[in-house]
Amino acid sequence: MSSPRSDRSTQRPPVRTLALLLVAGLLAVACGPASATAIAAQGLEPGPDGWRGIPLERERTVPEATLLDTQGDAVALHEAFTGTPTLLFFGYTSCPDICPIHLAAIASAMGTAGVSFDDLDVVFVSVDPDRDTPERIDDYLANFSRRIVGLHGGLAVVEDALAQLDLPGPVVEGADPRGEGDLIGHPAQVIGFDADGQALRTWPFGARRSDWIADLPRIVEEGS
Amino acid sequence: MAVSASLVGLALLAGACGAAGTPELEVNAAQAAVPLAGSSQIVLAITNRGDGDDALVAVDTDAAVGIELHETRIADDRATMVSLEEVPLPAGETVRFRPGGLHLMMIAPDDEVVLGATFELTLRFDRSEPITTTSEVRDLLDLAEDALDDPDA
Repeated sequence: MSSPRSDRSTQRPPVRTLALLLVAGLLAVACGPASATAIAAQGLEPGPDGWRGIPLERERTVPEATLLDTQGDAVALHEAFTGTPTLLFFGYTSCPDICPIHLAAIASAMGTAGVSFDDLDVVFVSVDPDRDTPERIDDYLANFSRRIVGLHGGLAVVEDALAQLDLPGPVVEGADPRGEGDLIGHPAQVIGFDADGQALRTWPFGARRSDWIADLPRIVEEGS
Repeated sequence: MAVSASLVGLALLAGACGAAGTPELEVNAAQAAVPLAGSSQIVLAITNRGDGDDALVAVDTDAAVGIELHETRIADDRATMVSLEEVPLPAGETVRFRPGGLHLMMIAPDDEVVLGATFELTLRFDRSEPITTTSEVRDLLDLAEDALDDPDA
């Protein structure tokens, strides 16, 4: 267990330890407490119009792309997800941090805010076609709500859909320590569209349950 | 002679702040999320109240196949995760493991890691003695919300 550095410290002679302590005292001014590890996720500030979600820099629409649902049926996004406001998120089921928190927050806030999945489509698109089988996507989404629509497709189709939204494509980030493939970089935000397929807002990671409780009724009200 | 040699050496080390003193580590109550898709993350904070730097080099538990040191990085709209060999614990600082930042990722948690359960984990450091602490298992969203609510928790 011990590294060379810890061996050295345990074998240090007493006199030298004293000297170390002395000098450490002199260094203390330079080594005062510093700011803690930063995290930019303290919830979203309400904008002047009351929305917590962030306006988009330019107009975007539901991508023209055809994916598969977990039953194997083709789903043309721009047809299936117009007529009702839609939240769209790109992630993968092995994702340990961002994805499950977004999905859990949305699902929880749907109940609290009294917003029905009949009035708002929530769509999860896998960026990990190699591992995310339809069964796996179903099992994963059932942790949040069986009403969340899970979609998958070839990587080229998914990348095209992301490009239409000015979102970064998936990147392989390194080996998954569970030995079942790779960790994958994916867009960190959720995008909300109105019933005409026009993007309304985005919610970065750090959007809180309370942010969703505030915004979900707005999406349905203003987006329908 | 040994003393003056050390002093000279330390003067040279002054740029590497805190390398000279003694770390004193304190670990707050750990919380693990209910496992999802074969993994779970643990929220905790380590405060180094000493005047020497240290580093977290490994975390062991009997309740999972293993625990990895990870960091979620969000840049240019993309979230990525990186595996870390060690996490520096500088003198005088608190390092927090929580959603969206540094986190301890449990690989394939056992069946007993369920809501309300507790399990032990042992943190191993570069310089300090290992610290064993208890983690309780909480709902992921509750855990994330509380961790983000209180930046100083």
